[in-house]
Amino acid sequence: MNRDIFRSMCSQLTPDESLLQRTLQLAEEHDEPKDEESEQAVRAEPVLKKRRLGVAVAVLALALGVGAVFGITRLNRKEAAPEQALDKAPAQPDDRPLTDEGYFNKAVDAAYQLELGMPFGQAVDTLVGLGGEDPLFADDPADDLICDAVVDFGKYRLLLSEQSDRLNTVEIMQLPDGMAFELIPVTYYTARDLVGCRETDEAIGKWLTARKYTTRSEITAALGAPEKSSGLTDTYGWIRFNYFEDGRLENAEIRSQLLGYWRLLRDEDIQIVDDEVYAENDAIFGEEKNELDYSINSAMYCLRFMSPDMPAAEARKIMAFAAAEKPKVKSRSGGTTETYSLGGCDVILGITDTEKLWYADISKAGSDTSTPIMPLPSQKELFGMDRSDDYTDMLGAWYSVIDCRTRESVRAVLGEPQVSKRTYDVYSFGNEKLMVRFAFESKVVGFMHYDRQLDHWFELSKRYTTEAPAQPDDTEPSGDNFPEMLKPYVGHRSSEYDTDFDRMMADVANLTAADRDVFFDDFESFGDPIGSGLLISSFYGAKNDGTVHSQTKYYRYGPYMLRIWGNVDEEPNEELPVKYGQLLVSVERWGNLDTGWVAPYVSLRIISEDGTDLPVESHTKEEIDELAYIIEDPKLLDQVQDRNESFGR
Amino acid sequence: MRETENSMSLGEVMQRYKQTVYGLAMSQLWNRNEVWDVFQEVFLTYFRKAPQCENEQALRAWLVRTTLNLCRRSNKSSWNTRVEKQENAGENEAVEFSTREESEVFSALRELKEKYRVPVYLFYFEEMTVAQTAEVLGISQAAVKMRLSRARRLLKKRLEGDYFE
Repeated sequence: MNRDIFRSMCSQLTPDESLLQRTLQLAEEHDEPKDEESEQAVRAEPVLKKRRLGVAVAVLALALGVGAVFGITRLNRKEAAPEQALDKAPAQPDDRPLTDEGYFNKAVDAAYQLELGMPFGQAVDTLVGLGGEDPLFADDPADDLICDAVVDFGKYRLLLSEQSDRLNTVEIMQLPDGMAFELIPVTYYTARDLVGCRETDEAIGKWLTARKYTTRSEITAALGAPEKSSGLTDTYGWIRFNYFEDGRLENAEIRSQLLGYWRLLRDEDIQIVDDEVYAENDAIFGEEKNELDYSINSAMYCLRFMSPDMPAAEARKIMAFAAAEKPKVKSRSGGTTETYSLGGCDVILGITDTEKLWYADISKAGSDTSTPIMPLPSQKELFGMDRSDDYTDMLGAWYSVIDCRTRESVRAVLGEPQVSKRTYDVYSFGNEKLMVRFAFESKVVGFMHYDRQLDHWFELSKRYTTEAPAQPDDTEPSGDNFPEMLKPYVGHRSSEYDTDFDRMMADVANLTAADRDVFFDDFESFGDPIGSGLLISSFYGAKNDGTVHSQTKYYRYGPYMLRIWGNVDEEPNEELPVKYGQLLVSVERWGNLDTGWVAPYVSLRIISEDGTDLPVESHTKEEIDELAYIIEDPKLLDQVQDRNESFGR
Repeated sequence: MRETENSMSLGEVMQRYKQTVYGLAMSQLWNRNEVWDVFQEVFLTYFRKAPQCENEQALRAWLVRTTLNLCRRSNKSSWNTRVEKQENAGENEAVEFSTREESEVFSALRELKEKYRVPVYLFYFEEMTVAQTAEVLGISQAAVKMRLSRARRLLKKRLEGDYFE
């Protein structure tokens, strides 16, 4: 037994004193008032100071967390200029040229000042302001860019792409010919942050109630007693209100589902619109958003989460977040209609006697004529409402190109458009118009229809169609080899269920061999959405030589993250969870983004290359729920990971 | 500076457990910068959360668990799992020992799977008992013994020495 060697090694595993000093300094920086002004502020508002301190420390922690995730920290920068970082004296300007590492840090740090969805021009300006070189834009014919703009930091290049003039992706690559890597994962902080998240929806609902008031007593009267009250802050679930000492409302903060921290509530959260789509509307018509736009957007947002035959209670719940008042209910043959007022427009829900959603329409406030939104194609059959021939032509044109992927293939079917811009073509059919939207000038990303009555462009989506129920085909999963917990969902649609978990399981149970083929053969067009899940992230995994080894899509069902992962690497690799050509369907759960991609998973299905299911062990919902990882109460992840291994990982 | 329940300042806690946190992170991570990140974050988390620990053993357990979790987060981060590192990343190799023998032992340790590596580190380097290791890792003592046993076998095979008994 030779313990001495370990003691000797331990003595060498000691951090530099500078690391300790820097850690203490970081802690002090966020514990002490920085200047006389803030000291006065602390004296005047002690409780407020405490809260701000909390926010500051939280921001620090988040920054460090992000730094850790991407291997970038202040300390990394410190290596480039150690004496500057460690010295407590005021920093001197450092004119030394940056090392590659310095440029890399600078590029990544700058990228993290951006937020997906922000105005694209502002994003570029931000990067330039933070030390980036002059940007190059894709509009410049001299440059053959694969994105919409690039900003260089030394030998590192940030590639930015936009959609409807909003920042859509940020990638980084090494010049001259490195591969580009997604730098900021697809996380949306605004409307998309809300999708499928009950807690956030409820928080928004509370805000919609509370925003009419300005004082603590009024808000407490409206919302009831807070779940938690501390000093000048009242917390209701995932929203909290901060008050001045005299009781006036200072601001409201919402807990970010993805990032797991509190941030100020923003207009975007309330507008709950797909800005990408409606910014296009503004771009075409130069219209400012008015009340009608606002309320139509709100209505459309609500309808995005509805589908025919969904439980009426679920649809009502969705509407309750947007509508300030109770609906007007009218009886009609076979059920009821409920009219929700959203200000400039109304949403009308048709509910059957069996408490299922029948249809959803939008109408101008007070108007008797509604615009059928869902379901669109079979409107005439269902409701006897006759639209014009132009409308039928427009729909027919849409159907004829609905599977086209490029501008060229659309034009091959429909001919030359009446209006053509870089990001869209518009076809006219009498009084009706069909818009085809493109990304990167050619790839079809969506279809829109202009509604003359409402003077508004609506997105045409398969979501709103009422296609005949899919006929069972040969590839329909048999349920053989399914884990026990999945079997009850075979043959049921996700719309039959009320909970995120059940909907997810139903979607998983209904994945077919044909779906597997699409995943491998046409990854880009694979399920967006599949069933009721929302596509959160879609990416290829690449090796150093540029070859792709895997394809991944993430779908969100409330707090559950469904991952569909396919191995496309022909080189055998026993370390990977499934073999070449196999599809692994698993569920994982992000406690919050503070845990980054740390997410143990539980396998739900493995579909083999020939489309049959491989055996997967069963487990329970409770076990999946335990995947949540909470840093405040550290638990070892390998406890769940061990279990995952036994589930066939 | 905020004080803990045990009236230990952050500085005191860092002095007392710097080796534990730093060494454990060294055994889990491959890059010195990442080790430094984790080291900082562990103590900043401690500072921020001021965990209520009944005694020093509980505090050490908290620090070990937090260190392990943060190391896993780092290892499984988008950066480490999806970005191929440049070849010169080795310049930041985490640790160099004074003798070749020590380097080989540590290298062999790091080649173990995490489920074996951690108990070995805690048992041999931190000189924790099986019971303490089990408590810190949240597993049974039998599991610790089993992992140690398997780890010893793997290490013996690799090192052809009797460091780990």
